[in-house]
Amino acid sequence: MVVTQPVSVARTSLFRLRRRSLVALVAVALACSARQLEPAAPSPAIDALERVAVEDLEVAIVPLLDREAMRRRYGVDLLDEDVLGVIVIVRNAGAESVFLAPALVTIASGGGEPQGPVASPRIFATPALFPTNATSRVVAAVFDGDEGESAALTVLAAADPTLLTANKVNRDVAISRHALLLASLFPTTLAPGAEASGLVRLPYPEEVRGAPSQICVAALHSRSGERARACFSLAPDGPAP
Amino acid sequence: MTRARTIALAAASLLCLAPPAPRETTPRLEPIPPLALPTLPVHELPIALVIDERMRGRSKALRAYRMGDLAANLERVARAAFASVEVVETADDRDGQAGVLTASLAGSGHAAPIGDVQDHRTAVVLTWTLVDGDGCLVWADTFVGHGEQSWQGSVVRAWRDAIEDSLRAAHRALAKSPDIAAYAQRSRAENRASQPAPSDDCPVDPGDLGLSGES
Repeated sequence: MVVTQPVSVARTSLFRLRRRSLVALVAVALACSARQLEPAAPSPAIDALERVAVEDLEVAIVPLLDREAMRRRYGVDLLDEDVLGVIVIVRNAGAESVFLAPALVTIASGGGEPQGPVASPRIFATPALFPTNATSRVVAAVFDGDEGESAALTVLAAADPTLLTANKVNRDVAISRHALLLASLFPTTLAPGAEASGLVRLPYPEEVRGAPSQICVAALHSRSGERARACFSLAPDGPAP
Repeated sequence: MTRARTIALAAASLLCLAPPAPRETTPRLEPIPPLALPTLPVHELPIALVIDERMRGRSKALRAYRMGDLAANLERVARAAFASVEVVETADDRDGQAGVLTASLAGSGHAAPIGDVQDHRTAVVLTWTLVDGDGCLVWADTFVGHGEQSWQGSVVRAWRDAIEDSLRAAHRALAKSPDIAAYAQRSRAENRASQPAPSDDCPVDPGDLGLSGES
């Protein structure tokens, strides 16, 4: 038996086939250009670093000044964003627990007042959000805290290449923020003998980079509230403990 | 062809040409299955667990990926680590408990590179704090939970894995914390003496760590 189909149905099928092929082509092209970040490297062992011992605490820092390494690991050059990324490593060698948090890390540049870490939204302007509809879907998103957000969308069937490019940029930004989120130092209680590390983002505008800076890491003794503080000098061309 | 039939056909054609309906902006929350936790030491400390509405699936971050209502599993974690738990909405609702436990969402991330050829990778970061009756910090810690699903897998499943990973780590840390155990012991001693130790100032306030003390 021969089954014939009306011309209009055949055209529709052809159109669907073409559209699917187009979507597949765009998807493959974008997948090939997808940002690949190096896996997050563990923080270096404190014993391998030059460290400061203060009140039963051992503290070391690693300022991130290698722009290329930053791009490979986090997908972004933090210095371009006026931010100095510092990996902070603290070991509690005392008999009492201490509290550690990014809010206890400061930088004083060019003789200015000490400043705390920058909030994440300052690092990247929040990318524009394009409305989702049946032809788009969210492919990457990072939420800093509870309400702040950065999300990236891709519009697979978008005819407008500008929209497609803009969404790819958003996606890359979200992936970078994801990598930074995972590397961050978070509030913690360090029991005796314990060690913690993580990335802290400090303000570091271009105009202060010619002068020496001082980075201080504090921890609070849990019972007494006493503050133990270790400070490091950052020369204009690199760290100098 | 009758006029009515022509109109019906035209209407049907228009329906076919109509753009697809926009996707729901607030997707339905997925039910989160009960979290199974191992048996670990339990602190003999009555606490109030603060679960505000954001942790009940109403925050933007929780809604975006249908992460759902975390309240039931937060409560399971607290009940697995403390002998007595009362759930309250704010720390002010505490009714004589020796401690106030809170969990807050410090961040979350999702990366599923386009092209559907790479894995879904998700991370959920929850910061927990325990303060004493005066609001002074006893313990704080942050747990990054990871979830990963193949490109064919469910992104919702990846989120659920990340949440469960974070909650299990929190349970282990709560149950094994020497600081919480020491505080529970001090608290019991004060109760036996019926004379709570006066505290003029907090040695450490949650604000000192940049934490609000409430979720």
